[in-house]
Amino acid sequence: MTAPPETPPTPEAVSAAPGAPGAPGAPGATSPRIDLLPAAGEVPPPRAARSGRPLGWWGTWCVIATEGMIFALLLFVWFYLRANTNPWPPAGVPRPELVRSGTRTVILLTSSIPLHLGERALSRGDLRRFRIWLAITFTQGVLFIVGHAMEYVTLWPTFTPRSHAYGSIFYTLTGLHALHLIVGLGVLAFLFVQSLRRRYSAAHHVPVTCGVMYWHFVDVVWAVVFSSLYLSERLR
Amino acid sequence: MSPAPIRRAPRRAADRAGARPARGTAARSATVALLVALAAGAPGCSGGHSALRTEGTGADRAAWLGWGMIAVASVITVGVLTAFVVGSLRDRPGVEDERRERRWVIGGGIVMPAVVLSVLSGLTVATLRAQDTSARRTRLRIEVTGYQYWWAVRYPSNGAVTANEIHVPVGTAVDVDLRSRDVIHSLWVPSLAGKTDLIPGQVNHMVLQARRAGRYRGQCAEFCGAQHANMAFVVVAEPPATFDRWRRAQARTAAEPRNAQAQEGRRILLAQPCAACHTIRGTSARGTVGPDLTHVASRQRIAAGTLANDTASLTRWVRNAQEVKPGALMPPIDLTPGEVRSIVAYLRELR
Amino acid sequence: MTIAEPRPPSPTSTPAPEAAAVVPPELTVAGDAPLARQWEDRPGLPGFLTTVDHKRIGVRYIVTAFIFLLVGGVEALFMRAQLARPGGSVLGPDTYNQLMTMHGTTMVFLFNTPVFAGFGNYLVPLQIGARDMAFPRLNALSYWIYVLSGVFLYGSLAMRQVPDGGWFAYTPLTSSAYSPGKGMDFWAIGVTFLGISTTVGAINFIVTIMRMRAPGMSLNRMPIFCWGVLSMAGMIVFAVPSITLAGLLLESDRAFGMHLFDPARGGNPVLYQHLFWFWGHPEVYILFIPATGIVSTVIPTFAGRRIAAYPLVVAALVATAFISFGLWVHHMFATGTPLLVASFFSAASMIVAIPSGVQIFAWITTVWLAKRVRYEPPMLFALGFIVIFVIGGMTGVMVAVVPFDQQVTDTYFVVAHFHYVLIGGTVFPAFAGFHFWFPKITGRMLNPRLGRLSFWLMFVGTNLTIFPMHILGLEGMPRRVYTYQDGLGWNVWNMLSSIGALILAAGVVVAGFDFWWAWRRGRPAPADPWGGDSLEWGVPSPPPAYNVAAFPVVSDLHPMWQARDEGRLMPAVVSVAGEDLVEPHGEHHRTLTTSAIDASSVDVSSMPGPSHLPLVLAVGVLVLCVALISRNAMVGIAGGVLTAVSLIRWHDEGGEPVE
Repeated sequence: MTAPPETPPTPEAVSAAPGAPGAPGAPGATSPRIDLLPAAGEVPPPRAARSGRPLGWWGTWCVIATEGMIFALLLFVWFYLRANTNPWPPAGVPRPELVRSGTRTVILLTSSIPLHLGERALSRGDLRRFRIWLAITFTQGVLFIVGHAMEYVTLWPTFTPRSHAYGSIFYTLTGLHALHLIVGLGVLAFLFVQSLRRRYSAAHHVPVTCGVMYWHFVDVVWAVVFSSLYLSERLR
Repeated sequence: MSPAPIRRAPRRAADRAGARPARGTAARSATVALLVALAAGAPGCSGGHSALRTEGTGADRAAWLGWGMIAVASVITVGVLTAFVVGSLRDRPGVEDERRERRWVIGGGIVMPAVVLSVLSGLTVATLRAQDTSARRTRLRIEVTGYQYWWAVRYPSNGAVTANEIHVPVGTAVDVDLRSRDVIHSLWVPSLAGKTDLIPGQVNHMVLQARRAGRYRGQCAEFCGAQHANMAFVVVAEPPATFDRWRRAQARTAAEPRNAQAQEGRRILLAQPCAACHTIRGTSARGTVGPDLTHVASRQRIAAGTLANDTASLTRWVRNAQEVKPGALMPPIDLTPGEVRSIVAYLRELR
Repeated sequence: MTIAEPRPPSPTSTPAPEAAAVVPPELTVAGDAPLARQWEDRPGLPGFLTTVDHKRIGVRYIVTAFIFLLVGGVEALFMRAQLARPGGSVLGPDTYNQLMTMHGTTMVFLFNTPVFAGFGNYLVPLQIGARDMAFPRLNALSYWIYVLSGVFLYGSLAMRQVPDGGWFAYTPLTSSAYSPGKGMDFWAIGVTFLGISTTVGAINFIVTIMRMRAPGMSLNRMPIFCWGVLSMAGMIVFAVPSITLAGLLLESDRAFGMHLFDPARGGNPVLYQHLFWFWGHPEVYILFIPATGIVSTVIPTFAGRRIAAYPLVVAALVATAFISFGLWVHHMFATGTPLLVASFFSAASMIVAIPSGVQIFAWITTVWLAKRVRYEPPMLFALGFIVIFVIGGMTGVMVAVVPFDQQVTDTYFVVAHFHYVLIGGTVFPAFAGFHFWFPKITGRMLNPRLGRLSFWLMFVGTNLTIFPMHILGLEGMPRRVYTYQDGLGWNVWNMLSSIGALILAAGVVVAGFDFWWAWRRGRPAPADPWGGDSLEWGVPSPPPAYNVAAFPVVSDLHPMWQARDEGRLMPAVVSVAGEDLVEPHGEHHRTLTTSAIDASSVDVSSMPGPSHLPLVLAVGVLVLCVALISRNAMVGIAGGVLTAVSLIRWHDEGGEPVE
């Protein structure tokens, strides 16, 4: 897991965000924020300040680390089988086509951009823009999944997960990614509904932050899966 | 194989190991007991089943390393534990000295193990290289295939086939090709060499080289199912001339039965399901599921080392193999006692 | 399964004098104060099922794990009975193989990992001065999943389809062709199910430890036990996906006819071993590292001085966590590993001995430089750990030497090695922990005489059981055999081992009796019976539901000793930015969060209160597992709906930390 460098926000940063729970009810107060009991001689009193990223942010990073490990290991399985199987892919399996899958890939990878813009709109308090951007990302995700399903429909007559190890790992890896994406779509839908119910504000939107991180993660995973299962097979 | 010295030694040591741990320094006295036990058992045994009393080049190297490591490990263990006991028993004014703490921890915990481990690592690589070199200097190839719960042995040089018995010429480095027909097994002859797995879908290799003539017991070492425990075999190391004679004999087709009962036995065997699983070269029995029986009477044991190869055991086995090895793949076959007697008579003639 | 909760002793338990001197009375409030009312669970069953209190969950973890220890132990006794004599007839091969599989699975998955999760759960918030874990509901979820996956795995017994392919379930033996029944399905699905619990728990530990330490408790003032839990959790995050995948892919091959491990269709059985051991080797350290954390807590307490070379010990823990990911192939030296690969993994396996050496010498130095060592039962178990672990460590280095390993792998030598490492390295520390923290958890003292008796029985029993196995292995006895022939020189050692197992079992029974008796009738325990150094000793035994009313400010690695030596009370935060933490208004559970590295800036966060959702969600996932086993779509849909609905409710309640 990679944690970004800790940047302790200055007290100004706290007071600049009124309503932040670090300073509820006392925005910008300069009186002692922390009461100590009993007065402790040389112990420096801790500062009251936003103490860093929300806990959910930390948790989501851990989830990404462990999920990323699952995909890393599945790619290990892919390359292990590829290195130990001759011929690879097995006879009768067409070389992966790149035009449609490449288009799908572009659609998915660019879906992170509107989501990012949406999160920025939300932190300005603009819920309406947030929902519009969210909807765009959602549509891109749905398009990707539809394309994915169409690819399965084309490939299924040629080989299935039961045909051979290539089929098993191909469908497992792409299928697990699709499953993650469907979960991601569910998360986006949930965020959309909650934002309609005005559950989020500029200051309170940890679930949005976490959901957006997860979506970016699923995007990045697809980039790696695509280059391993499609691009590198073509380039050999 | 002369089991007597093997069995006597542990018993002597057992008294020590049994009595002394109760006094708290169990670990140390048990280490001593181990050394005594193994040293007592070490000399004067040809053949057998032990990773420390070895007669093969591969096992020799491992045993040499093993003895060295046991010695060093015992010294370190005793030293560390003594330091502990002495340190914790004595009362002294408490010392607060961070530099001393660091020195001790770095000296004992980093420098000492680093030195010992570097030496050990060097020895490991050297031994591995020696193994690799001898693997390239083999003069005879044998194919061993693992089955649930027995071993098929083939000699590609002349087509001889047998089961659960690997004959090798003494002194010759033999390359053993290892395959599996079903699940993963592991071929292990402790007195001759370390184990290597038999893995479906790949061919592994190991080198067997016996310094002295003898019978060396081996056993499957990778859990392979219900009867993993009864999947033994024997390596017979014999003078090259004897070995050649044996190999020629094993390549021949089956002998004709000489008496009526044996002839009757052959007829029943070929008519019954037996022939679907077993091969008897020279007859219509060509099954490949069970061991080749062409020269079954020449082997010392049956059922992968489980029973002695005599009339009584064969009768038990043929009547109902499941009684002897529950879970083995040989099904009980509906035979009258007379039919069993005839089949056994036939099998006894397959020399 | 019903799990007993400790009955709080009479409230008149008198704190030890030295504790009273350093614990500011502000750390606790009266039982009817708003803070206490806010944090206490509802009484009775509803409270039991909805609690998110890390202490109750921690105790449940420990009690459940102890029950599984007894179950796994009984399985071991049956196996030792069968092996006491050659050609034993106590068990048939099928039963033996089932017992062997369930013994390994139970001990590793259902006892060893969870028992330290239990200690971590109970202790980490108390040691860092927090009111609960970072994600209390997730914490409850990970317990419920743990206990339900245990029930699921043992449900195989009720269906008479017990897994019998060995606890590492090597394929193709465990493929549907060679293990037709449902047994291995229970195993594969069960360990995957359990993996959710372990992972969720680990993430919770990481976030809790990084963000909820008391003000001033910078990372270099953090108790070693918390370092151990942090390292363990980090390893779990990266290692558990591998066993999850091994289980899932094995089940895909079995249930959906895939061919990932099937050599006939381009699969590879060795691939399974890579996946298994890429988890399996770090797992050994996942078990071992928190155990050393306990030992590094117990030894300094009873030596009456701080641990020697704290920075080196911490570095050793973290180094072990990293190195342990580079060792997995040393379980596969007999699979025909190429020379270069074998050499690399051999060297890496030796290097991991160095951090262990650092810890051992730190303990030696600690007792060596101590004024006087007190031999209370926790200390005995810690010392017993060292004796056994040193031997296990030595044989560990020996099996890293490839040519020697090719002789002893898959023999009783290896069985001896890892039982020395696991009994010595984790069971003894766990018992040290039971004895050490029992007064804190239950508010009652154990009987030290029974503690000593059980220690000596267990110590002698362990050595007598396991040591002869070294000799058996070198004398050629393979592991996982349900019987052996007479005349191989194995009889005596096997008999000794079986006798030892009885002695070991007697020790565990004595300990169990001791715990049970003391729980109900024990002498009331003071807040700090041993003179401990970390914050949990600064609150009453047992601690109040909210742990601390005011948040102690830490300026030393040993806050309790510092306060004692300087003869003053510990300073504590009572309000932040005008919000009174000791006499709160409003409904929400509130706690402090601090900055990740130095814990210098503080902030107040809300936490969710009791909830039924963790239990419902865990049941939902259980139903999904049952659907997989029974291959029943309707059950699957029911489970899916239950899971999805409870997940949506979970997030809708918005109880996860709102910033």
